Amino acid sequence: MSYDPNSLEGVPDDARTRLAQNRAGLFTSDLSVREFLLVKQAGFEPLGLVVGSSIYHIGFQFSNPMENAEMTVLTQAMYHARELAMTRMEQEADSLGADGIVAVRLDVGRYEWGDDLAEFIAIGTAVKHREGQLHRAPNGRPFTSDLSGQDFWTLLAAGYRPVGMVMGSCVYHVAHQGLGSFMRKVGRNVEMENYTQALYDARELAMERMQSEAQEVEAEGVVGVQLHERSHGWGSHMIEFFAIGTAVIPISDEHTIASPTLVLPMDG
Amino acid sequence: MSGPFFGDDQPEPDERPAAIPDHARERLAGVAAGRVPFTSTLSANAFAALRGADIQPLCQVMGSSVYHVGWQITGWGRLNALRNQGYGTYRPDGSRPGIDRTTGLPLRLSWYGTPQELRTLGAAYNDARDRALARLSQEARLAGADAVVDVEVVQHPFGGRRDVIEFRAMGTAVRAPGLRGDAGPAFVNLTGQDVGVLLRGGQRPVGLVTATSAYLGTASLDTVIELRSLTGKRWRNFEYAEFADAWAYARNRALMHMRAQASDLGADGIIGIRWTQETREQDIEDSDYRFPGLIYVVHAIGTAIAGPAADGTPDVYTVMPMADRPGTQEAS
Repeated sequence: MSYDPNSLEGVPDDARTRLAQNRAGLFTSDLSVREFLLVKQAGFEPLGLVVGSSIYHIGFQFSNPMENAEMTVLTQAMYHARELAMTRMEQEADSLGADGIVAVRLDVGRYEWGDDLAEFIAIGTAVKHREGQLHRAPNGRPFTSDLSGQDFWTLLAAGYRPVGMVMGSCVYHVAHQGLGSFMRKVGRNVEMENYTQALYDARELAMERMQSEAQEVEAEGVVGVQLHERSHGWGSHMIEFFAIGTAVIPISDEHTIASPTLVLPMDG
Repeated sequence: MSGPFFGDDQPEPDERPAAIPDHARERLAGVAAGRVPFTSTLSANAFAALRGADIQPLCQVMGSSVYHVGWQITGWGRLNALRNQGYGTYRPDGSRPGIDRTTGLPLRLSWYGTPQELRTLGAAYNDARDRALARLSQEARLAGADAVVDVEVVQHPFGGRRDVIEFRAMGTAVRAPGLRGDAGPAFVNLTGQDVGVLLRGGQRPVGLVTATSAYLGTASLDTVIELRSLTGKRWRNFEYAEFADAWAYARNRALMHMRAQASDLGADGIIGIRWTQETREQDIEDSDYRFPGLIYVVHAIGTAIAGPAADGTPDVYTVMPMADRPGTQEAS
């Protein structure tokens, strides 16, 4: 899906009405009280809750039970569906005239009854800088960040700003153990090299993809990376490695925050 | 527009709210007159935070409503029969396309793939919750409260029956002249500490906003035909745009309801929005096709706030807690 900042394709009519109301004042947000105050303190005004979703039918791919291999059809499905949800959320933010989206949550849901269906949801709060400083990503999109309001404040205080959420995904089929291999290992302490290798490969592919996304947005680095290993109901030999983090770029040369006061909580 | 499915069944005004029992009235009158000590489930910290903001707790208040959902949730299978009678041919905008003059057939296939709001189902949740909150408000008034803090709204099926839902709202009634709204006590679904922090930030909570909306999404005829084909979509990656649409409509409708409530309260915005979503499979069978369908019931709740637009935020200092975080110390 190519990105057009003025497009509202896939955003329903109701949402357009709501976004128009948001532009007229009265913001909505899922930030907590403390996050809300810190985001304001950092110089940003919340504009509105923005959401994007995609209900996705995941195709079929044959896997050789004896082979370690990436399931490219499934990887593409996971990528594409997330991209659709994120892009819709970004388009909503764009139509509010936002600089970016903070506290983004990206969830994947599976339905009990639909093996081939997955639900991708992106939710966050669109914000705009009060002084009108532009904080968009270099590619013109609103910045996105999955950092909490607290982490967002600290990051800005440390002279960095988020440019975008970057992710890497890899769906991998871990080969089953052959009879020969089983016989050789009976009664012995031995590493299951095949499995170890598969997990390494999958993790490496996911990390590499996340890294290259960060390079694309000209980031200095990625903070708050979370690495998830999930099977999404595909069975024990099919895993998804999913890496997600917030890419950051420096906004000043000064990167030291005021030395934190040491406190000892008395409520323990 | 009305009907068992798409009806807009609003309750008659004289049905609400039910009376509060006499002994409860007496107890609350005692609280209002200041004859009894205050009661609360507030922790010592929450209590201190509220007192620091000049807010005085009075007593626990509650409102509850057990509600029968007019259209049984287990009865969706009847949609097929109803649709054949023409009920399903309503369009989302409320118009009814009726009969195609050239073919003489009902214009019904256009119905599939378009999100349908299930108003009766949504209205049941909204009405039940409103009744519980109205009773909470009544109790708070009787206790002479300006606001109710730490409000928790709980919802669950009643007595194991899927067509009966219970809403219960509980909180601590407080005396706080600065929080009282024009329409009565303000409901605040924040902890005592959060109320304290918000007030120090120059903002004040003005009320609780909450809504439920229900939508049915069905696959379009094109999708169904493609799925049937052996060489078609069945093996490929594709997006069920119809379901994503229904989901987005449901979320939007809930958000719009909440915005309208916040606007009535004179709020500047809504924070802390929390969602819960129930998704149910509801395939719809035609004489020729089986249309995969999903029902989304989306509940949302948030806190409406008001305050100065800018420079109300307090100074923030960074601290480093010196207590060990749980799990950082090895067990000995």
